[in-house]
Amino acid sequence: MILAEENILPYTGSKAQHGLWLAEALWGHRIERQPASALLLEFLSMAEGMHRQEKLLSHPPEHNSYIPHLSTQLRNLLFNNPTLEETFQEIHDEELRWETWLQTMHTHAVTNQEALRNFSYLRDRFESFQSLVEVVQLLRNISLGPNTERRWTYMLLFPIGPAAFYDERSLKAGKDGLERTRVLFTRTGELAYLMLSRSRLEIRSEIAVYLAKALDPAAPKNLLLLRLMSGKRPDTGEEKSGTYLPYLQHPAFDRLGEDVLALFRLNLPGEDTFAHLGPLLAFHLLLYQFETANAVLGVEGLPPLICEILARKPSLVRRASVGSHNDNESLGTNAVERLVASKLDADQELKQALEDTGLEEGDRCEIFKQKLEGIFAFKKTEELKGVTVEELRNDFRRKAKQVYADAGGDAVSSLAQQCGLASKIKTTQYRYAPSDKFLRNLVYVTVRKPIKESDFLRLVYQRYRIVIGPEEAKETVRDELFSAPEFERNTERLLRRLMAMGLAHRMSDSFTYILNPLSQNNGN
Amino acid sequence: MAYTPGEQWIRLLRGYAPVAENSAMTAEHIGRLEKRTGIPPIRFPHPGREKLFEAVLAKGDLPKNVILTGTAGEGKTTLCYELFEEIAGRPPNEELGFETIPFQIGSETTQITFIYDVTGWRQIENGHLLPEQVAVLARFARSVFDQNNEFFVIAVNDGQLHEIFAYLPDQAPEELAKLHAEVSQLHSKSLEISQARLRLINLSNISNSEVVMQSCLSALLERKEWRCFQDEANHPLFAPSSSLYRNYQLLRSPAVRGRLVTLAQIADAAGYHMSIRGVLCLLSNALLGNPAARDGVLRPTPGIGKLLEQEPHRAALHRTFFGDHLSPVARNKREVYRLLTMLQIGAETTNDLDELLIFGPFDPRLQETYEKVVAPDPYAQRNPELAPLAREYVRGELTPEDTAKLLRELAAERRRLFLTADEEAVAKLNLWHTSVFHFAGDYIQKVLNPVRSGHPVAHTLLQRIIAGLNRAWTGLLLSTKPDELYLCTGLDVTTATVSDVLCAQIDIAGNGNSRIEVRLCPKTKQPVLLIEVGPRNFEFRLTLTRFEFLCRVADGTMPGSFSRESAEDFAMLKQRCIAAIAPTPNPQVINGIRITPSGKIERAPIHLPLA
Repeated sequence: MILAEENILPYTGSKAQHGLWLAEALWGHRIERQPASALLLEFLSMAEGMHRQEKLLSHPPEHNSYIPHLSTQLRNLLFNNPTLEETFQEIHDEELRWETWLQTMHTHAVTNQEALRNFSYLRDRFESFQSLVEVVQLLRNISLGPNTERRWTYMLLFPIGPAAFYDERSLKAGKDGLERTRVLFTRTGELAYLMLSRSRLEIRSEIAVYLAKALDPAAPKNLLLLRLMSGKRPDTGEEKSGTYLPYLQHPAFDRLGEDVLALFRLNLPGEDTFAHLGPLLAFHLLLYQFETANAVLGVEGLPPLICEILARKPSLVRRASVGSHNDNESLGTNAVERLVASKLDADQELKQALEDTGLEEGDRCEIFKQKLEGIFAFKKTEELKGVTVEELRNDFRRKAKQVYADAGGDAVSSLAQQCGLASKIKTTQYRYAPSDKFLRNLVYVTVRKPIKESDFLRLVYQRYRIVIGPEEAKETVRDELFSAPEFERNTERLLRRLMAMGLAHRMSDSFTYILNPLSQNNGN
Repeated sequence: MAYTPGEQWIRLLRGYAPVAENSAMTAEHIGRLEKRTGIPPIRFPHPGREKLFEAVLAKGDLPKNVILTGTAGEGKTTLCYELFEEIAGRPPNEELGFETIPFQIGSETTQITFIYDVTGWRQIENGHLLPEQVAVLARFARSVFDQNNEFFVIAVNDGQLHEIFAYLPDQAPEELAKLHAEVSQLHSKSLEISQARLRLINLSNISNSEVVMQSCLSALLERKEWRCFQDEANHPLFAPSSSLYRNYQLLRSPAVRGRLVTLAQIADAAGYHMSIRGVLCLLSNALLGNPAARDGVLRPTPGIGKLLEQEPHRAALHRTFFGDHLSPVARNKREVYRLLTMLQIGAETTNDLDELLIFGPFDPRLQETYEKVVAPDPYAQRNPELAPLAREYVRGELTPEDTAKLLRELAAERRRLFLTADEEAVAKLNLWHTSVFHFAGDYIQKVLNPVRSGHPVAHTLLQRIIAGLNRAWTGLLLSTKPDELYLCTGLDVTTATVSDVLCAQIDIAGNGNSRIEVRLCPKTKQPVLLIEVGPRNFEFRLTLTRFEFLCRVADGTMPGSFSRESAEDFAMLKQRCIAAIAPTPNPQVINGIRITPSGKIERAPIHLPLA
């Protein structure tokens, strides 16, 4: 179903700007490494842009353009304002404080609009310079990744209101303005939004209601952000578009929608939902990548994710989880390889040319290169090594895998870590060893009423192919790595973790219920 | 071999102890011992008896089917036997595991079927229950939903309650799926009464550890068979020099009995449940335990006299009670010993206590306390080597091996004191500080006892709890004697480590609109902390672990450094509390905070522009 021609949305943009149109054809434009915070904010930024167009999660699949916020003054105040505290501490005269600082900001603020350089409106909005300092400090406390080496233009805020969902920018060469970039916002967040926008109507309609509340510009925390900006709304950037999600329908879209809705339905206070949403999006993008790769390889559904619940010592479970992680990481490469082969083999014209005995090998190579350009938008054919078609084909395959590994493959690895599923703790290799946060998310979105441990294990296996217990391991783990007692201990470790986190309740003879305290609100 | 009455009693008692032959001890095993020894088992009115009898022998109401569940060793089978005997007028056939007898309801004769223990009853072939057993369960389901002319009483462990349904074949009667759904619904929500003709009685919910401990202590210590100490005083097992005699006398003392009941209260408060089997195992082992005996448990054998002469202090009550003489495997197998291991009694210490134990005999400042609290040892429980070791330690003449030995013996001595000291001494010497729960004494005396007797906890204690909550929930160093609970969040998430936005403040003393109180949960009989604002409220179980965390944090410990798990537990509680209370935000103001010099929170309001 996934790869059926009628399920694939034609790409109307230019492939010319892409060095190689291959991974994009499979998974969309595009999945790339992105911190979970940037993934979330890019997702929200697109959602907010669509909300302003009154099209939140309800637009035709080909519609993907929106105008993002820039919130230039807010960002200058929070992240490009080193003299604020210094001014407050060193100058004691209130009037002089304001004057000195406003002058500095006028000179040093970076903006593309001259009017945004003027911060004098703040004098009327704050009763004292100190209260401005306090608000700026309060907001700086919620910056994401405060300890990173990021330049100030890349600094992000926790999404407390739509004014905080701004597009990233880099400094122009002369540092006299801001320009578009795709360093943090790699489109993966937009891809997540598009996935959600293609989930079942009843799911996305309900999610849109919840999201709209979070996108309300009149919400108090957003008003706090607006207080620092001169306009009634944040300034905006140029229209963004071009993100491409190939499939009209995909099991991953509904699965994502169901989980996002389950999360919203918990009605967590404030913006707590967003703390869970970023990792959840990362997890579902990962599943989307795996399931699509599997479809190309002729396998239906998801591959198993064999998880080790952190143990002190190495075990067969650990080896199985390392193996599972490595197998899944290579799915994308295998899919790319398969796609290259199938596209080339399916081209009748190429086939005829290659079988034409009247042609010299050099002519065949030329035809082959032209085909590579036509099918895969691959222009650097002169870089291919080889004097026969076979050699060129092998080199192209190698190049295609390398290009994928550098972008998509790297992203897959990153997504598994960002969502808390993969970890290197106690090993030198990555494996599936879910963090407490991942487990909490898993319970939050799957458990509505107390369920038996065995049912929970089955549920997460059937839904995500997560393997923790012996029953599921028996079906998926290779014989030499399967040990029922070790997977039983793995289950026991899971249950102990969940009990410690208040997500499980143990009865007699070690019988355990998994429960979601937020869903029950039972005051345990 | 002919046994004296005293020996027969010990043979029966040994059946309760943690020995190899009864690792899966059941009512049947004790039943066999009863037949062999002629000594009736240890019995007492089961706390769940009334509920079971009322459900089945309902006076003026129709009987109900009953599923009796609970922890292994809770007495499910024994209760079934008792009910059977009440109805049949004869003892059950324990070998059968399954019996159907006539059951008279008024003028109507029906029948009632007992399954004494599902584990022993069920038979699996090719992954499925035998067809005749499926038929029995189908009759049970029909009785529950269709109210036919028969009744069932089924004893089953929690896990097997679900497992039995997993063994049904695909073509099992439909009503069994309905029964499974009904049972799952009751079980998962800890409900007892079904809309259908069914009661699910969970004995673990009825008989808390404290009741079990009190009942077991009385039933065991007040047995007439103990007259063997007088009647057979010449028998080495029952002579005053025997470890059994000494431990029995000590166990009877009010201080030790009281301490054991307190330990049971601690178990309940910490979320552990002591089963009847577990407590009888603990007590019988405390009496009969002796490292020189086979399996570490005494029994009447030739040569017992010589065995009892070997280092009697090694069979002292404070060692046998904690299972020191058992192998780690034997201890770990039993929940009750896992609980004692978790409590770490004697493992921690205070400078004052160690000073008393080491310097007490010769330091004039300490002598009086030492003579009053430490020195008395009427049943020769203390290791005689402790005093010389301590002296050599003071002189600095100990080898590393002897130092390690001294440390072990000091830990044992702390355990002895913990077990035998009276309440006054426990408080004076801070003996709870030798365990993992430093504030367990306060918990029992200042939280549990008042709320159980319907009194509010002292204001100072509530202040301490709220001080802990304020620090855990704001991440800020606030007053140790607060007047208000501050509900703060981060500007981003409610669970922010440092929460600097004030949502609500609630008077500890309460006002017309709000209150904070520690009260007893009517269902669990455990304390809960209630936070109420207007029509909304939130409450959470004030377990011992949570109380300990709050007290330590109130005293200045960093929440995350004391226990990451507890800190996370409280972060999640705050999230749920704010979700439940849902403080109404003022759309015009965000309340930033400032901390005053007295550790209170002062609002620093940030006024917002109009939307």
